[in-house]
Amino acid sequence: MSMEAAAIKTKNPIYRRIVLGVLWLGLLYGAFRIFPYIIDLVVVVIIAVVMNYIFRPLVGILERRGIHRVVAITLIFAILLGLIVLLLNSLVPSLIEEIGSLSSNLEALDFEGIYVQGVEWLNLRIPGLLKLFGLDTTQAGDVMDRVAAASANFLRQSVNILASAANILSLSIVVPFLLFFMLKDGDKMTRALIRRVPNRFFEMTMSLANRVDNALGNYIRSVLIESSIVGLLVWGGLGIVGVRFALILGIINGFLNMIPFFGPLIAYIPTAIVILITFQPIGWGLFWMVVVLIVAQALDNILLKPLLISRSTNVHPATVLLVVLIGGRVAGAVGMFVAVPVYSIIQIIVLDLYDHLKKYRIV
Amino acid sequence: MAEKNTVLDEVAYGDGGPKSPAGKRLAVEWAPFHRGKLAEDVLVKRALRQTPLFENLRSRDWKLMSDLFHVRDYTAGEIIFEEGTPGLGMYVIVEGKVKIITHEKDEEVILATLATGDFFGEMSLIDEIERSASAMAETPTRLVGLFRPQLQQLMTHRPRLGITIFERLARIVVQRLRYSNQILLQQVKERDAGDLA
Repeated sequence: MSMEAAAIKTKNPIYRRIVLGVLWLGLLYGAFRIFPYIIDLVVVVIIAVVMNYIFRPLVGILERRGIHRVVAITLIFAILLGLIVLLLNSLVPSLIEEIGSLSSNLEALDFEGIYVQGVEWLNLRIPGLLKLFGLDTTQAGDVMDRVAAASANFLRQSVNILASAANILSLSIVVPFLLFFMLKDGDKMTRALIRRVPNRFFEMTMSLANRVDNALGNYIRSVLIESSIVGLLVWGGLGIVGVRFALILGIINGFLNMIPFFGPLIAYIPTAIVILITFQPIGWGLFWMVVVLIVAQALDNILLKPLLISRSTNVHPATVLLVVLIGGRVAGAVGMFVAVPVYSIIQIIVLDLYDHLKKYRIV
Repeated sequence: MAEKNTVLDEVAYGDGGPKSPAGKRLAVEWAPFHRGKLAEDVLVKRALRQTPLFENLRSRDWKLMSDLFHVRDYTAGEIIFEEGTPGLGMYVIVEGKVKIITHEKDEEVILATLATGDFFGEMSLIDEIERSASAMAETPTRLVGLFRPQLQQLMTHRPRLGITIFERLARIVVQRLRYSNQILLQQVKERDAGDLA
């Protein structure tokens, strides 16, 4: 065996790959098993990291104007607190009122009646279709019970996560505490971590950390700005045409906009339900709904997305569906909302890592 | 065996224990916490003051700059960076020796051997160009690195200091360009003289 071949064999033997593979699988399995126990902690850290990316540029701007970093952070915290108080005083009461009113409207609605009417309507036009699925009007109560149980379970799961993770203590104490130190000492923390990296990987790690930091910051800020603008457009549009609960619908549309392709389509469902319950005449209500949502989506796709979101974070529709389903399975509705952003963030890290490993000739 | 770190030892133990930056002696229980940082600051300052890029900076600017530097230790024979990889920044030699090497037809060619106070890789501070040669520690070496992301950060947060550093960097690059032009001119003259002969 030549020396070169021997060197290659010693450098990367097959058993080493197998051991590394098994270790990685074990690590992934361990992380998956531990995840349910630390999910509340993970959510708190994610909220702090996201807020860090939002407010860090502001700290930079204030620091450039000669304001000390700690003073700048304190100033931002004070303004944020003021805004929260203002929102609690003005927006939240109307939001609670809207949710309460919407719930009572939903309770008053005869879902069983609608189901029976729908089934009979389908039966008249496509006979045999319902038999194929084993449905008839006598099962109305049973089907509605099952739908209600599944929805309740889904909502309970989401509420549980929110209740344990985003409880008052976590949100009001731990998140601001973490955020303060991330904003104040974030660079020092990164430096301290990079200091421990072996010399061989040092330059690569520095470059990678910088690239990922920039990409993540841009992505998080872009998604939040994009979703907020879409939410505002829907709120404004539906409000102008006189749809009730426009604020809630705006918030729902903004949140769902975080899920590419399917989010905006899913947003039609709650919007249509609200219009069916509250708007007269229904036909005009649905027409205005389609106009407002299409205009909002057109502006988003033509103007906002090309301006804000980089191409590197494009995700295939099939992947979106799979990721959203996994997110829903792991963490309910919250998981569905954050699944695609979290996947995009992992994608950015993995792609950049691979790119750097190649550039620095490590693989 | 690990080599004695003269600068660190002098700072930490040389004159009867560590002192605060203001010169007051630190309480014994705080000494271990301050020693590392204090020693590193003196170390970095001493090495960087010798380079044209960082000479004569105000003490306030030093404090800002010291947060941007990375101190790295290399053993003899360890590669600092490889030819052809993306350049990220420059290094200043604090202690030790560094060989700048390239390969021609599978043969190692030593372009230069650098010692304490010398610096290399400064072109990478301006743009992500590939390293034109490899750098290897010849002896146990301590380097201070300044990298593009940190310099960009300095430009954003402290534009005045950032511009000062960039001006000096431009001056160094111009000097090197003039030197290269002189060598090129000399080679052309020698070739012409040979043709005439």
